[in-house]
Amino acid sequence: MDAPVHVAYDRARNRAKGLAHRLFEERIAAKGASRDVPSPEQLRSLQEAALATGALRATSIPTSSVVVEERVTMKCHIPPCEVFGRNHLCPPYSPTATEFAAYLADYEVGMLVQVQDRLPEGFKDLVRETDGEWYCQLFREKDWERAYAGTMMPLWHRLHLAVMAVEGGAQELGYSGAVGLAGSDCGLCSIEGYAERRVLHQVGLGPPAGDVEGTVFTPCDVSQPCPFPEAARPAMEAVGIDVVRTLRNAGWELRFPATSYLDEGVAQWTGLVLLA
Amino acid sequence: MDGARAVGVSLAVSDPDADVEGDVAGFAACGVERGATRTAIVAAEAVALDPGAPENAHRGSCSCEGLNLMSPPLSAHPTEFAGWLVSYRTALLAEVVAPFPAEDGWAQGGLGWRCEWRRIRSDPALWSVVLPAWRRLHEVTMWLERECMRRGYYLAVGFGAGDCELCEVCVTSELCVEPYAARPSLEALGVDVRRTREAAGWSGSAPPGQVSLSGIVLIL
Repeated sequence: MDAPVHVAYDRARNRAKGLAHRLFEERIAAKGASRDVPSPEQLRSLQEAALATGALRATSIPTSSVVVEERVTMKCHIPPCEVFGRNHLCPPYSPTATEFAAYLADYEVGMLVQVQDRLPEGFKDLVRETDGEWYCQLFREKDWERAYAGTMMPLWHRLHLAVMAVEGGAQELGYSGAVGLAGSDCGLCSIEGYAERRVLHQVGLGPPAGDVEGTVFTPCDVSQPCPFPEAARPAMEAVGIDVVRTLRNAGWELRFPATSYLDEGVAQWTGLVLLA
Repeated sequence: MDGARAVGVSLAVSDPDADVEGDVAGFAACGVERGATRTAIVAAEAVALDPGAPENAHRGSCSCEGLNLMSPPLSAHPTEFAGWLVSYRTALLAEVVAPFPAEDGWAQGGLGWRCEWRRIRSDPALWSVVLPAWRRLHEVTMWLERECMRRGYYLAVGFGAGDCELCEVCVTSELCVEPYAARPSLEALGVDVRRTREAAGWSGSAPPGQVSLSGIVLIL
């Protein structure tokens, strides 16, 4: 084979470790052999920490009810997602389901965190109007992309903050292995991430926030080291968690198609923090 | 990892009360409406694997190896596909048949791995028939995958035939430029297309004067 091959496909074949592998391995090393789990009072305080950030709800779950399987990450590259190979925290750079299942085995308790926003009328109308179109064409349209990012990315950042709040709260309680997972591809370097980048810089978790127009930071550049290695978190699905069945095991629901939420006028996003 | 890890694992459908049998029958009809010549519901365990595929796919015996991101050795390895396949229960086979301007018929997977595809691709007369058939099968598998996902079968995935032909030239030094659309073929993933067709009660090869392309959607 003489034709040059993109690094992501080499990565998919060779399975080199990426940023998320290091995150889990460092946290598991910090946790050591401790099997201590948070008390009911501590879990309540972590729930409150999530709600204080604006989360809709949070609930603790045994990690045995987290469903992990390879078919989930298969959907990241067959057919390829638009960020496959384009994001440090997504396949093929993120752990495979098998690798993540091995990390998960070190944890007994986690906390699901869900955020919700009301959808603006204009966005609902746009989604309804374009419902019959192919997404593989729609996502390339600038107007649609702008409307989607403008609506959904603020919610993504709220989820990320809620996950980080629970993770940080657990760390303060002494659960040094606590580590969070968000949803979808990491958006810290997106244009909409400017406000959160400012916060991360203020607390020492990232470089200066950069240009508000996003010329410095957008989008994720996998040819460069991640500027936010302390704050970037993979999505649940990026490491093989079946979000639908995991939520069902917690008594929550995730419906398909996503447009079924239009009548309620809301969008939801869910993350998970592995506590101890 | 053998199947899903967790307690209380249920079927991969968002509505636990879904009428799976009725939905799958609906998908089969939908495939024909969208352009398939015929469809067949099969148990996922009837999808036959070529035991030689993992070796053949990476042996470098094909002179066109490495020219397409959706074909070996850049596509998922057949052993990886076999790991996904065991978690599925139900699949939908779809066939597109078109007149073939040659005396002999040609069916995907009939005469060895992919080299036939390249030969047909280099023959303008044959290609003028096969490319539209490929596009039709691609649209059918994409549509079925989409319908399955919209009905809550969120791990549904569709595979087609031959190399991916969405681009005139596949640039393997770049990431795929057809997100959400490009997908590998059955034979690229090590499926024995002929035996899989026979398991569905179809003939393994196309009759004279016809080309037959097969795709599959793994539903749940």
